[in-house]
Amino acid sequence: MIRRKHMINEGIITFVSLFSPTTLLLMVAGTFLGIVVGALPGLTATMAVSLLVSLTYGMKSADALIMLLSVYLGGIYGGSRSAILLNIPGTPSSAATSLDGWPLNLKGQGKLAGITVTTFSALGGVFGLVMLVIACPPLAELALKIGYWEYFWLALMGILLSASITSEAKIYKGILSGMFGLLISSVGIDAIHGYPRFVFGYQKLMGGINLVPAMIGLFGIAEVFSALTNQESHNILERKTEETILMAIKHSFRQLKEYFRVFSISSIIGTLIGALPGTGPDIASWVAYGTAKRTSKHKEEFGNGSWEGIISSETANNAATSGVFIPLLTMGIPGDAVSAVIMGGMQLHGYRPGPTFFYDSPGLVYFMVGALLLVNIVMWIEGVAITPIIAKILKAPVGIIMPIVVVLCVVGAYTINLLKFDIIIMLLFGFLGMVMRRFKIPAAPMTLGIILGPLTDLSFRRGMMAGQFSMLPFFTRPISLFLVVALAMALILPQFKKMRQTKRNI
Amino acid sequence: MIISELVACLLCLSGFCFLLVNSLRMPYPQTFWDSPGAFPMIISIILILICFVWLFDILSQQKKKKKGFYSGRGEMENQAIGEQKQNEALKKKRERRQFIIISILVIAYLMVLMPLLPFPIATFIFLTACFLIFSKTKWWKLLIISGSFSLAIYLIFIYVLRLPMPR
Repeated sequence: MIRRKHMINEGIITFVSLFSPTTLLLMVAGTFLGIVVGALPGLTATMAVSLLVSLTYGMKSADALIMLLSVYLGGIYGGSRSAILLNIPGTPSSAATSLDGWPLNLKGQGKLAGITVTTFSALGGVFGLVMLVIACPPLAELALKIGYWEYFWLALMGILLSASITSEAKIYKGILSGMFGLLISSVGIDAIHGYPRFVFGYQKLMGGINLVPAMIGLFGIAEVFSALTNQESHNILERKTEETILMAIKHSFRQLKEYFRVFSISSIIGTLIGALPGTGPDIASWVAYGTAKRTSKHKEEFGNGSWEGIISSETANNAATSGVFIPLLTMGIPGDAVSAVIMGGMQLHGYRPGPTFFYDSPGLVYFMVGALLLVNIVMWIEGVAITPIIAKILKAPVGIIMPIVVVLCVVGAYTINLLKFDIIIMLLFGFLGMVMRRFKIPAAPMTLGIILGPLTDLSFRRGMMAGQFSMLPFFTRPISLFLVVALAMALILPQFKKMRQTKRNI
Repeated sequence: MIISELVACLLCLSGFCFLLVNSLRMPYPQTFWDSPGAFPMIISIILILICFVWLFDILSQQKKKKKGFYSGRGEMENQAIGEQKQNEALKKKRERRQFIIISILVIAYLMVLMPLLPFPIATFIFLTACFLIFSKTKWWKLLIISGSFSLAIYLIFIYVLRLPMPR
């Protein structure tokens, strides 16, 4: 009882300390930096947080933590800016947002979409945070029950769902793209035996093909090529009456009422997937988008500018940013690459997240929860203020914007590893992206394949080893079986419905 | 379109077959299932199967197209379709030209300008060339935009983010 009282007192003291001018200033600056980095194609939240960890060494530990959290949340949210306004996802987690965000922008609703996404990102983050506080121990327990077999199916589920969502009519093209992404991810040194795969004697391929240059090429460079070859396709509809910011904010809250079901389901999906170590916001946004599409009454609007589409993906990826802290704080296992870097930053400042963290540093737990809440609020204010400005800047002619995007892509691809090789990879993937567009093969499943490739490969082989080289555990374990059935239903049912509809039309 | 898709499909098919053979050649310390080649082998087989589905789809499209071509049409209808096709061909030709220009510019920027010149100067030349070709804005405005952007990106990366620029 005394201990509990002590924890609450410590929590109140640390929460109040968040309102000091220095802390607030760092929060505002960090969130802004995160949004800018996230919005620039190629510069990811992971990269920004990694760069910042060493810079925060001289700071007070609380200030350093605030800075890292602000950049992380801002970065994940910022990816939606370029996804909506340029059709180039700033971060992998905003790839699903571009599917409907870009068509909305072409209809002249870029500003409205930007502010809606801002509101739902912040609300998703706060929802995830509430789940973090309430459901931390049970969710951590559930995450512990998930083994290699379930991770294999989860990763495959993400890829196949994105394939089924992004393929216009021919699902096999989406699967081809996703599977090719998996194959690309296996280039380089094998993580179990250290054998170089598909290197063909070329030393630079030993480290594998980096996701970021590949993603910049597939989305950024391919978009530049496509926009400059056919400039009319990027003409944004000029509307006679533009909404004021206040009207746009009101519109976004009205949508909360209208799409509350989509919001709550996407938040739950985002938090749960964020809580699974090794997954994170990228897969969360796709699963939420797929769920929203399947359960929507207006399926035909998806891909043509659906509000439900952008709401689901952006709510889920920001809810996942809170979810990733569940395994981090309770078990000391980072949920994704960025939280791994944040954990490194915490350790640098003398904190040891893990099972005893809640008892060892209760003040810090409350501090982090309070910080995440405030960062979400700051992110909303900054996002709302920035959206009209970015929308105006990006209304410049395609012939001016796109060459600038090329330069940003080059810088983004280079800064990850400071290798010229990555720029060449970016260019090659740019041409590949262009070819894929020509044959209507979606690029998003390939990106997800490259991201989730190592997890799929390792989970499969480790699962085989742990199950004494039997495939049975992949189908007989309860959670595995549930995932297999869910995946099969998600893939087969829409095809079955489509076939029935075609028959009826004939 | 169908011929180019057929070529792309056959190229993919042969590429995935090559990768399948390569993954089967990888050594396996204990059993095949934990070897480095196990996972790529499974993926390659799936990809080969998908390529066959793709091939089948292309061939059935070709069949449908032939059927449509030989079906009876009036002279007026044929003339309208001919004009439409001509317009499409012209558009495609223009798009192909634009694509070749931007590809050459990007390759020249990455392979020639960047290794030879400092990054801001190479960027300035690339941007100016692109703006002059793809934009209708006045030339002096374009020079100001490309100059200020090159300088801004240089200053941000060197003095704010403290990162080296690509060479």
